[in-house]
Amino acid sequence: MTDKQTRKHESLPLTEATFFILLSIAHKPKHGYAILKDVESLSGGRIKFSTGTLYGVISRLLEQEWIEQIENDQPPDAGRPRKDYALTDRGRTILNAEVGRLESVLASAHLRFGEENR
Amino acid sequence: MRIESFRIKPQKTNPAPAQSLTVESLLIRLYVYLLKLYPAGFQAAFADEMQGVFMMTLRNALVTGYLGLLMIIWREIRDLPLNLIRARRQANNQLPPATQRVLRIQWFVRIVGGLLGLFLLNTLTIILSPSYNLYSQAIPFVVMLFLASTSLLIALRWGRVGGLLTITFGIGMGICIILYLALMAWAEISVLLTLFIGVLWALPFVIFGALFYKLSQHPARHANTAKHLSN
Repeated sequence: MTDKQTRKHESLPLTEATFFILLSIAHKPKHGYAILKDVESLSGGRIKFSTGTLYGVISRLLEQEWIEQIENDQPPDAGRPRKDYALTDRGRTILNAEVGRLESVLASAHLRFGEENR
Repeated sequence: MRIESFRIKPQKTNPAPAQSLTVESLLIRLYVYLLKLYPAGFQAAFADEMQGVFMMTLRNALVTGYLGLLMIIWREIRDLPLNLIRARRQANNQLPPATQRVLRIQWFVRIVGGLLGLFLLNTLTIILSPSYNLYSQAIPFVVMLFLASTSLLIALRWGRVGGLLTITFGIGMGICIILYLALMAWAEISVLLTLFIGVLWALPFVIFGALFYKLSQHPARHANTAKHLSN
């Protein structure tokens, strides 16, 4: 196993909060409030972050370099410049690996249920 | 000619928006105070954004009603302790191991010193209760004990001043207990034992006062801020 693979393997499984945040910004960069709302909708209203929790995870992901902060071109909101968060290459690799892991878990479950139903 | 007096009927206005505005601004102000509990680096990086997100969440919740608002407040309060611990741990993990060690000692001293201060103040409430027969000669000792215990609590926030006060009142308390024992003229207690009891009372305050003073001067105290500024 290469060093990169080992590091990727050690990061998995992701916590639900991390997974949904990464998933939320997988297609396009988003600012904090948009992530908050998107995670709520992605999880079917099950996960509702407090702002403290959201930025705690964002801070950790920035430190791990799974996401990056980019300046938003849109006009500032109430005098505050909006900052968007985007997935980095490393973050995308981790997210893909987690999706693959979840798929394999699900495949195993389907296989077992399929056997039992036969 | 009779002039019909008329009054413009005041239009009924919905008081809810003004009320909501007050609630909103009050909650935002409280939230800003809560944000000050986060480490300096975290605050500098995210406090402004967090305030903006909180404001938008509040406005959104106020449209749906007060239940939504209560849920948001509950979520913020519920998650706050854990978020603070995580943010502090993350900030400390970025520091050199030696600085991390000093910060750990600082927290240990704060927790033990704070608990000691609270315990002694609680003891004083028992001593000063009407059912307790307090000799008038013991009053200086009780006053010193109160001052030294309060200084320990002051040192939690202002280490240097609190530390110096704790040392001063601790020594004062030791002297007072020695004088008290001497004045009460309990012949059974030798001079050496009297001195020993005085030192025993003063020692914890001197140790904790010195620790608070020393740690407040250590550069590790500003480590998180300094690291952020250097970034």
